[in-house]
Amino acid sequence: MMKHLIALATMVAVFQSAPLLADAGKELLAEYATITSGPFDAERGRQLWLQENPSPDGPPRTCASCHTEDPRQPGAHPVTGKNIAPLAPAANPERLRDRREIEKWLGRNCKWTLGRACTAREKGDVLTYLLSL
Amino acid sequence: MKRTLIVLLTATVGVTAVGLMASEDRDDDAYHPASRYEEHGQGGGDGLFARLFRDDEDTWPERAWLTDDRRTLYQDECGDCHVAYPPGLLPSVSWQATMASLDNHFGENAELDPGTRAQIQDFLGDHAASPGNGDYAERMWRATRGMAAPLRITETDYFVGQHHEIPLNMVTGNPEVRSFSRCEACHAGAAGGDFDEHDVRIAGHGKWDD
Amino acid sequence: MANLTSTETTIWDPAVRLFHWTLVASFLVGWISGDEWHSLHVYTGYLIGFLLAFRIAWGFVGPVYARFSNFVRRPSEVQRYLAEAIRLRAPRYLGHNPAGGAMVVALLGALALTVISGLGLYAASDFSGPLAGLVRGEFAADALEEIHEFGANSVLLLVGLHLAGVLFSSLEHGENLVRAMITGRKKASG
Repeated sequence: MMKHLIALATMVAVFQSAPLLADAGKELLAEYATITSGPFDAERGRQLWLQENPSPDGPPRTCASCHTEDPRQPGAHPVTGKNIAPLAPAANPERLRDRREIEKWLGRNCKWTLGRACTAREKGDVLTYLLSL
Repeated sequence: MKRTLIVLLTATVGVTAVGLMASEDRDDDAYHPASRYEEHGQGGGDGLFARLFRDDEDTWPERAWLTDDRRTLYQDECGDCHVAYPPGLLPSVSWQATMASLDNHFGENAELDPGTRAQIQDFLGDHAASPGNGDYAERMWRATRGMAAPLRITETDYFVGQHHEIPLNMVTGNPEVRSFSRCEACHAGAAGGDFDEHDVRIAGHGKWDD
Repeated sequence: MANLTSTETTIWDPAVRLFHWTLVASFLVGWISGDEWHSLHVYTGYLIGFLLAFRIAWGFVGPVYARFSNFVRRPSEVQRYLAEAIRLRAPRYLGHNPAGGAMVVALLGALALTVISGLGLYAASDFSGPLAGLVRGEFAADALEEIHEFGANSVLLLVGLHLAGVLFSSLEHGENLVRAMITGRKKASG
């Protein structure tokens, strides 16, 4: 009996600690899920990504303005020209690993793009979209 | 024979004295940057000899800001979209104004959490263009005294004076450069404060000779 | 060779000689450091400024051969001297001959122009130095840079003429004028 329990405990422990891709991203998803209702949707995330929003100056703003329409591609800052590595973890394993970074950029860029903070659902949708690529 | 010896002796003593006086004493701080550029590229060392034979008046000899622990934070948080501009290029009132308006940072949202923001603001203030921060920063301070907290380095008298002879088709009309705010497009050492006019390579045009 | 020491006399006092050779060295350093070694260049400029101020003062209160009154002549005299010199008939002077005197004036002038424009440039371009804040603006910086370069080139040109003149006079009168500026001594008049 004891041996089985130990085996079971070990398996559970191993599974729990197995490194997951973009764990910070998934962690945040779980958090957002507690705030909003209903499942997140990658397609909704994609729509949000491409959505053109009015701008106080210049052309309409979208996520694609810097990150291009395909998050697997490198982008560039339209003013400073700074190269932006692909945002999709599938194309760039460094992405969505640091919680603070994700929250910082979602904070800044939602406000710039949409003119307001994103709702938990919107953030969840976009993250789901990025993770699905 | 005696005269020759006297002359030789005097010459030796003289040269030795000058050599000792002029020897390069470097601050032996604990920070030893891995980058060869940061170690040697800025005429580091405060001995008389080092000061006299510094590369250029646009090479930043003062290293305090480079070895400040907070610099990494500054580069991480403020270097994502543009080069993390050397703090000594603007007076601290300018940096304060910038850090107070990150939600509209030249048309972008660059907000930071309050703790990070405060740390970076202190770092910038400590190393800003001001009389206490070394020759280079002092000069920038004098150059900006006539202006009320300039927000753009590219609008300061000193910057304009240094760049006004450059044809615009090499900068604003050049797709590889686009803006004077992109220091690194022509000054490879910009992040470390090296704007040596002899090392300027304009992207797409090659070496620029003054 | 006859022993000349008994017939030699001291013409150039130690101050004038020290001034002369320090100036030579400083100008050389200033010229070489102009583009690369900015700090050194500026310090050299200050030194030359000081040397000029000294020489001008000394030209009024120094010993006889150092005084401007001894060798600064009217242009007509300088012209006359040069005309004679070309025909190898120029008289020998113990101090500076009229052409030499003119060269002193020209050099002091060109050096002063260079130093002063340098000070202005230092202020306008570098926001540094004693004139910082007083001289400013792009136009001033550009103009002063041109003047400074012109001044330095003029000095170089004059130095070339100076060397030629010294060589010529030395050959004409059979004496080593360079050594004279080191030891201070020349053959007494004869």
